[in-house]
Amino acid sequence: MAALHPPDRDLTQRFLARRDEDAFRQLYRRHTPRMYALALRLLAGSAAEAEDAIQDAWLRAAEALERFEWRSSLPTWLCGIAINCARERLRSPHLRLVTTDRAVEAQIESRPSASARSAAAAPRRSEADRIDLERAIAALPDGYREVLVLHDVEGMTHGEIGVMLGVAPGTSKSQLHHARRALRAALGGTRSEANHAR
Amino acid sequence: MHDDQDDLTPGQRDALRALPAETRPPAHLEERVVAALRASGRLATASSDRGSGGRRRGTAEAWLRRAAAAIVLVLAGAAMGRLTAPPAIGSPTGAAATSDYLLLLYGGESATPAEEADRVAEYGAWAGRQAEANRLVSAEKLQAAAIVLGPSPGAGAVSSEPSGFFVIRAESVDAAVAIARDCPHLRHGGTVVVRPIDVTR
Repeated sequence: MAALHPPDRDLTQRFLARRDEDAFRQLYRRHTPRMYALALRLLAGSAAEAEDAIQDAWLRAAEALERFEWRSSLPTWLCGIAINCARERLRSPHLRLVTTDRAVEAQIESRPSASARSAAAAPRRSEADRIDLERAIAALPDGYREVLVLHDVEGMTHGEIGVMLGVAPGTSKSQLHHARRALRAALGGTRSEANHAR
Repeated sequence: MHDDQDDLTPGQRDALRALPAETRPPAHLEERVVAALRASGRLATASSDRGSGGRRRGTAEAWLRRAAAAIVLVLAGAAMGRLTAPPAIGSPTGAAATSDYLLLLYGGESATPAEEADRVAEYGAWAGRQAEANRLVSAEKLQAAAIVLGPSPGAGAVSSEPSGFFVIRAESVDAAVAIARDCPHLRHGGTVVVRPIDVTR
């Protein structure tokens, strides 16, 4: 992995010592794409909610950075904060996520492959599949989506997920089983629908 | 063991791990976060360097806002008395039953000042044609968004943040997608996402 220049530690020290805006902006630009992708996926693709979560995350990180002991890398630490902020938004009573009826979502998912393959400006087939997958993940119930994203997308262990979600690893494993089942059902619907040429 | 049937295929598991780990955040988010930090006292007062991630917003968004406003005016003029109040299920003429569909616009090339008037007129003309056919319900700027025609929002040149929408009426999702494929936005490097609208609320 190529070394970042200037290193995160240097930027962090500049930020803490002088509350330097330039240093902060460099840290922001370096790490936000990762944090944002994570928040967006956890928040079912809602850009508005993900933006709020990322703002919360950076405010929290700026406050806690003085106490950060560099036992993990900075991006790992920042992503943990982003995950927590995203999860808090999921549980917020003021959530304005738009969720769709599962039947409607399944119908939507049956269309992108067919239309995307034939449209003039169509994405490649692999891109259409990726879109199907992202939409299927977004359509999962919140609890299933959390575990599936953290385990199957982010590669966290059940132990790590258990600590993060405050549940036993066995619960994480059980939730993952249900999540994969739901995901597979949604994707299986896509394939069979796409086979019916209209 | 039943786990095998319910579990994902190796291809699906690989696809999950291969999902993009990064997504470019919207350009305005940086300023928003910086402003929030400044307000909370965690940043020194504004530096002289706004940086390249600062206030620059795609001019595509600016002209699309103007186009959307023009489209609303076109709609008001062309559709006065043509579109009924929000219909019950089924079309106003009593012909084929229809449902409402949302067309979300993303990205799109910036228009030069010379092109802008033409671009606004082009979008307005398209909207006008839909209105003439009793297919245009509304056109406005959107806050948030879902059948993707064009490059995927957030990956590459097309912003992940929607910049506008059309609402059309059609007999089916396929019919709605066919209408959407004709939208000029696709010819200007943008992406159109089609979503059915829930009428049961």
